Amino acid sequence: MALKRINKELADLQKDPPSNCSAGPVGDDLFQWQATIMGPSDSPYAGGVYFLNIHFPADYPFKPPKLQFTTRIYHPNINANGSICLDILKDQWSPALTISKVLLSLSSLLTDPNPDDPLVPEIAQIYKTDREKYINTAKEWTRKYAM
Amino acid sequence: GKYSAAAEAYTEAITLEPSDAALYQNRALCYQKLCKWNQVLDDARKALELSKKSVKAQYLLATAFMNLNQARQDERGEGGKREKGGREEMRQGRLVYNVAQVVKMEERAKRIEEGRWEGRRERDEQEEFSIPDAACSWRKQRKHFKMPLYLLHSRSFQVACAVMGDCSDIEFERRRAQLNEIYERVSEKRQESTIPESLCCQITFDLMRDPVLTPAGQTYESAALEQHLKHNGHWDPVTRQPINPSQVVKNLAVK
Repeated sequence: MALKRINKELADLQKDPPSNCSAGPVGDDLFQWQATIMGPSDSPYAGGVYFLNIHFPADYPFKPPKLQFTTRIYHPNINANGSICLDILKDQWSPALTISKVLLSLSSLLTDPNPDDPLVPEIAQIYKTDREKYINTAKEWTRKYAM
Repeated sequence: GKYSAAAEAYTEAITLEPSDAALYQNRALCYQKLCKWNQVLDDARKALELSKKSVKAQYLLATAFMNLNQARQDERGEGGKREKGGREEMRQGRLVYNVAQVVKMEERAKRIEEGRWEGRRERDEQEEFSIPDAACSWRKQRKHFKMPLYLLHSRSFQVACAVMGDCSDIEFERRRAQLNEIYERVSEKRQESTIPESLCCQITFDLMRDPVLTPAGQTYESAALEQHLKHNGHWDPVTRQPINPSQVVKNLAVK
């Protein structure tokens, strides 16, 4: 079931690729993917390319896929390990979601961070109180790590 | 029908205009209806001479071969000699491969048109995957009785047999590889295009075999929804609306 569904998602991605991200298996193991997201143009991450590892659990799609940034990013909901705090990857996961939809949500998380449910409280604090500093640091990290 | 009359009319037309491929082709069609396979063969060849790419003519040629070959085998038994001409044409493997593809596409189009693909899909899948194999064992045994009935009636199987039927072992392997390739391509295409989205489960992304309807108005594959309710809780995967498992019912309309 999991493999069949992953194959279908892969076929859909190839047939109708999303505009600002890409994803596909790393090697022969279809449960292990790599993805890229382009920094959204209306965010301080514009111009950056972000790499992620995706791991599908054996009981996918009933359990969410595990996503992790491998490119460093300055964001209130993404920590230094690349772990992501996003509701649909945890308790709000639904088997009707797909990798394509998850990547789209991540892209909008980059544009609109959620400082009220932070993974890195310090960045959330700066985001809330000193937006300019947040933007400048995020841009700097983008240049440093994602270009 | 008035196929004989039509064929005569085409003969007249051909006398007046001997270089029009369509006339030969149409006369071949008439002969086909009349089961005059030798004439079909001649006209299809003539049409192909005049217009090399005519799919219709290739198709007619293949049909004529299949029927002539069959007739010969029926007459003389398995070991009987075959006409040299027929064998020559059989060697033009590529020609017949194209035909196999065309025939398959035609069949597919017809199936979809008839809207009968639903229940037959499983069988068709089986059919498609087994045609090259079936044709191989047909060649080895030269016997029909072991083949499933639906294969014997399938035109693509007949074409496959015609392709595999009369050649050396090395050539046979080469053709089998080509045939397999064609079927793979066709079945890929079919998978891409034939299942309407409304009949696909939003969890499995596949055709629903046992569709059930939730109180939220969504339809899912029964086993997939059951697993979701067990793992994730009592809510609809698409609408996220809370649902009571006892209110999930079979969706007979979709089925």
